[in-house]
Amino acid sequence: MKTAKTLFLFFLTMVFCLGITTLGIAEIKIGVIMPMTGAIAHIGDACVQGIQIAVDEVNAQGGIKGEKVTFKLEDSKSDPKEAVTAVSKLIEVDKIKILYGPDRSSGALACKPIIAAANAVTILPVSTHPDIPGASQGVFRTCPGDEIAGVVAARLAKELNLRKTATLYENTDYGKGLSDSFVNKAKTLGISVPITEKFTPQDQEFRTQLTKIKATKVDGLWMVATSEVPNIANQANLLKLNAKILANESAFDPKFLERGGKDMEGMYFVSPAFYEESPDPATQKFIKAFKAKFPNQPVRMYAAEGYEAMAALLEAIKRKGTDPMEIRKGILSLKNFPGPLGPITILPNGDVEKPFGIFQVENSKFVFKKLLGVK
Amino acid sequence: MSEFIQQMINGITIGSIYALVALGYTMVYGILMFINFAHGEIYMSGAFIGWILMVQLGLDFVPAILITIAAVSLLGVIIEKIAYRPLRYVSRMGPLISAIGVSFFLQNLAALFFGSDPRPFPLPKWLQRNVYEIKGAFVESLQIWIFIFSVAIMIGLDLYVNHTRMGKAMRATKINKQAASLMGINLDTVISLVFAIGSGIAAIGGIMVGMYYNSVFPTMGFMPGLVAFTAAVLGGIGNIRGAMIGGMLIGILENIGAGYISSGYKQGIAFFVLIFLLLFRQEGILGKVEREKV
Repeated sequence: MKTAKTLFLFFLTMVFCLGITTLGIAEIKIGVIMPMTGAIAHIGDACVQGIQIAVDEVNAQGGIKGEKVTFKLEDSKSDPKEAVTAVSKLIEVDKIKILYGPDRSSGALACKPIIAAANAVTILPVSTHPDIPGASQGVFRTCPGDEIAGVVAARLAKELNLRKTATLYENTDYGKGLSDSFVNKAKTLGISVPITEKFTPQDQEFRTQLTKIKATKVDGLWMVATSEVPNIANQANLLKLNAKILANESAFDPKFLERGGKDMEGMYFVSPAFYEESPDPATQKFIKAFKAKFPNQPVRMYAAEGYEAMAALLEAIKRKGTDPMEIRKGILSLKNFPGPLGPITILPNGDVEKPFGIFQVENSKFVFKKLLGVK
Repeated sequence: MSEFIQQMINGITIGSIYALVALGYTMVYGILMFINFAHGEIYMSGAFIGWILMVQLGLDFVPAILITIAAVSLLGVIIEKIAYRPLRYVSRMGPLISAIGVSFFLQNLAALFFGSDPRPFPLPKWLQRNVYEIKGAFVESLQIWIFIFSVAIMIGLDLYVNHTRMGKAMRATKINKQAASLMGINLDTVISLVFAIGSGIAAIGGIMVGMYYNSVFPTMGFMPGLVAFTAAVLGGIGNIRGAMIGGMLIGILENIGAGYISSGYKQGIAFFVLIFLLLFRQEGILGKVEREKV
C-alpha cells in the first residue's frame, strides 16, 4: 500500500513537471496543410523541405522575440475536400489561426471563406488561380497567378513566331484558368487558337485529343499538365504533332524528365525563375542551406517556393506579432523582400508581383533562357 | 478522314485491351453469377509482376511473360479459394463485398511495396516503337502488336471453350451447375480453371498497357476494370464472344466520342453506355433475354 502510494505520487510529479515544461516554452505554432500523399505529393514533399529550412533559419537566430517556431503538418492528400477538413481541424480543434497552405487552386478557393470567417491568416506557396488572393479574407500568396503564367506563355509563343497554337489542359479550375489566360492574350497578339482540348487528371491516353489538335495544323501547343506530361510528350511525338510544346510549372521537376526522356527534348517551360546557376545571392543562400540539410537530394523549385512563402510569413510575424489580423498587415508590408525566386512584393489585394523564367529542356536538363514578365 | 482513321486505330488498340480484361469478368459471371470487382487489380498485378521481372530483374520478354501468366493465374485461383469460395453458398452479396475488399487490399499492397508514383515500363529491345503512316494517320508498331496478341488470345480462348472437353465442362457448368455436377463435372476444378484463365489473360493485358503507356501504378486497374466490366455487359454478360465485341466497341466509342463530341467526356462515355444498357437492354448485344420460368 505504501509503495503504491509512493509510485502514484511519483507519477503525479512527473506529469506535473512535464506539464510545466511545455507551458514554460512559448511556441509560435503554424498550421501547415500540404499534399504529402496523392497526385501532387512531390510538390508537398518539396514545399515541406523549404518550410523546414525557413523555420530552422529563424529558430537558429533565437526564434521570433525569443519564441520558437514550430509547425503542425496536415496532409491534404492532393484532395481539395481533405484540404478543407484539415484547415477546419487546425482552426477549430488545434486553435491554430496562423496557416500555410493548402495546396492547389481548388483547395485554396474552398478554404478561403473558412479562413475569412475565422479571422485567420494563410500564405500560399503554390496556388495560382486568379480568384485566390484576398487580403481582406486573410489569403495571401507568393507565387504569381495563372493569369500571369498564361500571359507570359502567350508572349513566349509570340517571341517564338508561332502563328497557330492549341491548348491541352487538365480539366480542373487550375487548368482551365491557365488555358483561358493564354487564349485571351494570344488572340490580342495575333496568334490564332483553333482548338482547346482537355483531359481528366491522371489519364494516360491523349491520342484522341492530340489527333484533333494535329488536324488543325498548329505549330505550338500550350500544355497544362503534371504527371501526364511524359505520356503527352511521347504520344505527341508518335503522332508526329510537330508543334513546339510550351509547358507550365506543374511538371517542372527532374522526375518528369526522367520519365519523359527524349520525348521532352526541346520543350519550353514557363515557371517561376529558380535555377541553381542563378547569380542572385538570395538564391545561392537558399541552395546552400538546402544542400546542408538535404545532402543528396535535387534542389527542386517547389522547395524554394515552399521556403519563400514560409520566410515571408515569418517575416510578417516578426514585424507585427502573432495576432492573425496583424500578420495580414505584416504580409502586405512586404516590398522587395528578398527570396530565392526573386524579390517579393505583395500587392494590396494579396497577390504577388514577380517575373517568370523561361526554361528549355536540353540534353535532359532544364536550361534557363531568360526572364519574361507580363509587359 | 485521316482524323477518323486515327481515332479508329487508337480505339481498336485500347479496345483490344478492354476485351481481354472483359473476358475475365464475363467468364466468371457466366458460371457464378458473380461480378469479380477485384479483376482490375488482377490486371494491375500482372503489370507489376511483369515490370519486376523485366525491368528490375532484367529477364527476357518470353520467360517473363510466361512466369507472369503463371503467377497471376495462381493468384486468381488463390483469391477465389480464400475470398470467394467460402461465401459461395452462404449469401448472394457476400462474394461481391469480399471482392471489393480484395480490390482495396491489392491496391494498397501494391502501394505499400511500390509507392503510388507511376513507374516507367520501357519496352524490350526487340520491340521498337516504329510508326507507319496510313492515309495520313499513324499506327505504332506497339499498337499492331497489341491488336495481334489480343486477337490471337481471343481466338485461342474461343477454340478452347468450344472445342475441348474442359471447355465443354465450362459451358455445361454455365448452363446448369447442378446438372453438370451430376454428370460428374467437378465444379470446384472448373471454377478454379475459369479464374486461372481469366486472370492470366488479364495479366497479359496489364503488361501490354504498362508498356503502351510507359507506366505502372497501383491504381491503374481501377478505371480499366470498370470500363471492361461495362464492355462485358455491353456484349452480354456471360458471353465470351460478347466480351470481345463489347471491349472493341467501347474502345472505339470512347475515342470516336471524345474525338467528335468532346474530349472532356471521354471517361464518361463508357458509363453512359452502361446506364443505357441497364435501362433498356440488360442482356447486351449477344446476350439472351432470360425469362423466369414459373
